[in-house]
Amino acid sequence: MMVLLIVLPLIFAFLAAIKKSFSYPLLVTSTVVNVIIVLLLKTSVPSVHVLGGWKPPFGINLVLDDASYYAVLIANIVFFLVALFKETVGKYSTVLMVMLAAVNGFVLTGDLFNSFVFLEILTATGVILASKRENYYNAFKYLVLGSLAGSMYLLATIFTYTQVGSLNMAHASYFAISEKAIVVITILYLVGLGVEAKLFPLNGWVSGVYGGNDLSPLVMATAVSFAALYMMGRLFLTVFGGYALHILYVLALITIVAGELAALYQKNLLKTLAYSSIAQAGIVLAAISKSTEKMVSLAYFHLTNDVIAKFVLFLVATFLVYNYKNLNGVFKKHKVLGTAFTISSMSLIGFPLFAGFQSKLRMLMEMFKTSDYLFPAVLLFATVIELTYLVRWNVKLWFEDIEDESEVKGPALRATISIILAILLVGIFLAPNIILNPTTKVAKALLDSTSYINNVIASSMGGM
Amino acid sequence: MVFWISAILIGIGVYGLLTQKNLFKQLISLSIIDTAVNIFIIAVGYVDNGKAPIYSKAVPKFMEGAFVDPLPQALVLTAIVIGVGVLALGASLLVKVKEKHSSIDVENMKGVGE
Amino acid sequence: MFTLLVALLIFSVVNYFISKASWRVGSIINALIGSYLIFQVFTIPKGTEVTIGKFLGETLALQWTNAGFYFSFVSLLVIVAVMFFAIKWLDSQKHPAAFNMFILMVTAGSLGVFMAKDLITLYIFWEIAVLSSMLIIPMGKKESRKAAVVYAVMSAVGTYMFLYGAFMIYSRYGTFSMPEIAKNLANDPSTSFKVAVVLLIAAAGIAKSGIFPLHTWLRIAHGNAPDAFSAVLSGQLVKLGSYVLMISVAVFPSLKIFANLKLYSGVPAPNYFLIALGAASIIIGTLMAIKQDDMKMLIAYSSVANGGYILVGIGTMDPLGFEGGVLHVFNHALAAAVIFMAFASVVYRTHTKKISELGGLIHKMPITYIAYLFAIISLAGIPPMSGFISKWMIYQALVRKGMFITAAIAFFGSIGSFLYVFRPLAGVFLGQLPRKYKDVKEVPPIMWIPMLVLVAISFVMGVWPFPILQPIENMRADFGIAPSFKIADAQNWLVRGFSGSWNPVIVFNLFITGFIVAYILYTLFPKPKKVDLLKPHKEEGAPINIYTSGEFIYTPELYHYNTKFYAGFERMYEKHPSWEKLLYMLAKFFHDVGEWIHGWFFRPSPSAYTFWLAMTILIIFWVRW
Repeated sequence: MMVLLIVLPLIFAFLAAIKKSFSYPLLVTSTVVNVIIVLLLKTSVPSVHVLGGWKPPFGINLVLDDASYYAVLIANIVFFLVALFKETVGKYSTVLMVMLAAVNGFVLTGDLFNSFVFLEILTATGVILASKRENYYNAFKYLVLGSLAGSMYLLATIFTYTQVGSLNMAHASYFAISEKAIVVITILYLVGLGVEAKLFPLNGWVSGVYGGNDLSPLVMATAVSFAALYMMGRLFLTVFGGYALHILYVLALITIVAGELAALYQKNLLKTLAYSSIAQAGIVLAAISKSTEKMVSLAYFHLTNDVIAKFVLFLVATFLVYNYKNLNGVFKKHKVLGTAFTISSMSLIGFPLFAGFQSKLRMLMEMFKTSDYLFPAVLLFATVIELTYLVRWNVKLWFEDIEDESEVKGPALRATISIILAILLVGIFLAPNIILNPTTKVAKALLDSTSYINNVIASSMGGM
Repeated sequence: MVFWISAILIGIGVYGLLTQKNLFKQLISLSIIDTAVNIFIIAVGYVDNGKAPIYSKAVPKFMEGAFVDPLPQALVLTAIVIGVGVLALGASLLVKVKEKHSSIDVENMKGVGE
Repeated sequence: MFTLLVALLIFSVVNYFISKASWRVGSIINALIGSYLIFQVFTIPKGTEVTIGKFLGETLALQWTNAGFYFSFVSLLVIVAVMFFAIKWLDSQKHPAAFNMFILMVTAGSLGVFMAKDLITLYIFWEIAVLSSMLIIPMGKKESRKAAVVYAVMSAVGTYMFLYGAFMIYSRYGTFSMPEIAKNLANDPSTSFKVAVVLLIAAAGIAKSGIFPLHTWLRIAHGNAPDAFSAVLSGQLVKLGSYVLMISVAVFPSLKIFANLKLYSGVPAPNYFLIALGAASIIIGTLMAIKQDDMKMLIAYSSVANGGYILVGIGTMDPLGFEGGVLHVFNHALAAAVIFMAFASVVYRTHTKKISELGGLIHKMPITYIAYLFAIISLAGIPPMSGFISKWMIYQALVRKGMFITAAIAFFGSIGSFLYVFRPLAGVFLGQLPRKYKDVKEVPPIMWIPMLVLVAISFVMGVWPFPILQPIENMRADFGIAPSFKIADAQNWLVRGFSGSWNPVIVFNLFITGFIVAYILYTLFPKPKKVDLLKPHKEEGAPINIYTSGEFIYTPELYHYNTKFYAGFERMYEKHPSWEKLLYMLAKFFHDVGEWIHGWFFRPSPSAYTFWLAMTILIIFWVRW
């Protein structure tokens, strides 16, 4: 059944290509059906789906374990929420469906080359989304960087193939790869995936793509970002069991600082949020690179909080940016949107009463337990800067005197969804376990490569 | 030997990306890198004096070293398709860039401040 | 206790919606809740402990201590006064509903801080207080937007240093509970660790109570916050910082912890460092206050100086010094609250806070004037107001410890405070009344009653200080600072010091006598007469009755001597180096680095991206292998 997650949106996308006017209803249908499928799949975790009867390691298999299930869940919910906004989606329904298929495939696949294909589709659809609102040059920049990264990813895949003799992830994880080869492989994967995962200095595209229009940040900063960071964990923790993690750690710390400082400088709201998203990705990557169960679990916990908060922030910000010439004091006209925005940004900073507090404090505590004093210092420094620009924006949007007198009618759907998600952030603060339990499972699944291998191999023994 | 060709091609592609001001030339450089990677993949699967991996009169059953590795060839097919897709997407984007910024030369483009 | 705090937090949101319907009802409810809380703090038995729950595997708990009681009581006095004040004052504000909500949150957050037993609970409530106060500040005038950001950042710098310190402690001792930490710290052999941790914890206090070098936010935040809220900021929120400072030196018994680090007359080196910062704050606060023309900024700087007094007093860990410092918390809280409320009243009527634009309001707003007068008497440390007692105690301690430089600075600050508190007095209330304010009226009773109540409390505590000294004595006994030494001796009506003791009632009587004598003299001498400056213009031949330096003055505005009030004195440090500028330069530096990163990595063309991608691969290969 899990193959439907990939196939269904693809079929619908083809159908949409036949009759344009159906594309939006098809998008809604496919996202709704996908969410339902994901929810139904809950009982069949962990399971392996073998495509076309080609047993692993020869054919392509899809792996649904705790980790990929969680990532797929988040991604599909995000797509569902995005699909609700008819105006925003506009003519991009088909692209979104293809992208949904790509995200699901990217997360579920147990095959390295297959993941490359999905990565390229992700990049291509991302470029198309990014080109909305005539944002062509930035989309092109993303295209160049994305396909360069794709080439690196492909090279790494081929190197793995030469070493392991198959493209299967479980297989690659099972066989010892020679010391020299693994260096090349991990570095190429680091660079190839680093572009999507917003690793410094490969993240130049982010501000242009997130800051260029009203659709791409909603999807890219949340679902795609989550998928990329999931893959980072899958590859570096499960498949290559701990190689190159210290490089990832260093780069992630630089990413945090660079992202925050760039955001501090930035005057454009969407781009500020884009840079903040870079910094948050850095925090997640740094936590992943510690490769202990708690830290990895907290990394995805933090990522979840960030995804929720960013979704709200971008939801509100894109509405504001494309409806008002001057943003001073706009929240006086849109109180609900403003409240959601403020709550989300406070959660991002990590104030108590909001979800970000839980993940940040736990992370700090865990780091101190393992006597890593550098990461907490960087994290706290980054938080100060983050607080500076987020408070600055909040104050500007709430309290400055209104300059743009025009009043756009309050978007009810947007307000409802953003305030619900914002309340969810408060809920996560009160009951962090609703997210922590799944992410702990994620961490276990990612770190336990033995059971991952066993799952896949068992599927090759027992047939379907 | 073939590895070197692909290495040189990647070098040319990177050089092109680094030095060319014309966005279309950059796109072509990207395509060169793609091609180089493809050549590399083919080279990986090559076996000296290997035949095409089809059972024929000359090779009636599986023998070590008789066939070239078929898998990389299959992969390359996919990779080429993807490469073409990206190229087409890039080219169509450049048409739009030209329309909006009146040039595809990085130095002459208008309205790309920031 | 915990239910109380949670109820407060929840009700604050409810009150927002009540206030949306009618903000006046909301503010009245606020004031009633506040009054109830004051009674509530007396009823909670000391030593009550409540477990909140588990967080990160550690138990979070509240504990009601003598220190918590004292600080909560002082805070509530100020907050409740402002809440009553706000019932009328709020009609000059744009966001009354949000104000009502946030001020209740500030209350809950502050009480939580004082009740916290462990550092994480403290941190959580601390952030609630910071967050909600941060959202009130930008409700003021234009400049207040920037003030909110500066306040948030400075506060965050201190808070996160605190957090870092708290986690360092945790990674070593495995506990956040303050009593446990105190025990562990006392037995820890590593000096460098202890120094680092104590100073990191103190950093939050330094930032919050406006101690040098993180004092600059006070000017901009207190100066620009909504006027009545400045009273809470200066009178109450700053005291959160003093509380944390007290934790870092007294709850963590610095005399025991740093027994091998005694630097000078029994004062441990880290304390000495803090005292030096306090002394620097006194100097900077005093000098900068003297030259302010904005009356709120003036008192903001005076808060810096007084924060310095509190830190100096507590830092000595001397029984008298400690008690003086803690008592000064009370005195300054009340005095600053009254002063800011008086200013809020003035601004409420005149819509300006520039001293040079005001004058002569004594006839128009006499009650406000009285309140202000008594508040500054207390602030300047003159008997019979209670401000005298705390300053006297601090001086005693400094002199006994032989810390002459600090003592000299403290004296200097005291004299300086006469200078700066007199400036608004002369400029706002005395002197010539600008003609545009000739219709100004006294503020309504609901605004002046809170001020007078606070003044009265301060006055009574100056004459009969034992009720307020007793909790402080209890606190001192808790912390084990010379517990056998009794300072407040209510039976014999004595306040004991090392070099002798004095009877506050006698001092008060002396003052009253002096006052009566002065009043008799005042009635005996000729009455002052009022002259109309404009009379010579209107009536031919009317005498020009007023002149200065041989120049006749025809326009009332010229007679206002408040611009360049202390010109000669200010000239002495006119081109002083500005710490504020330095901090702005630091902020600018980060901003510039951001611009650089932006320009180099994020903005450029595909070529540059390729370059960085290639560089990354090369550098990783080069560095690692």
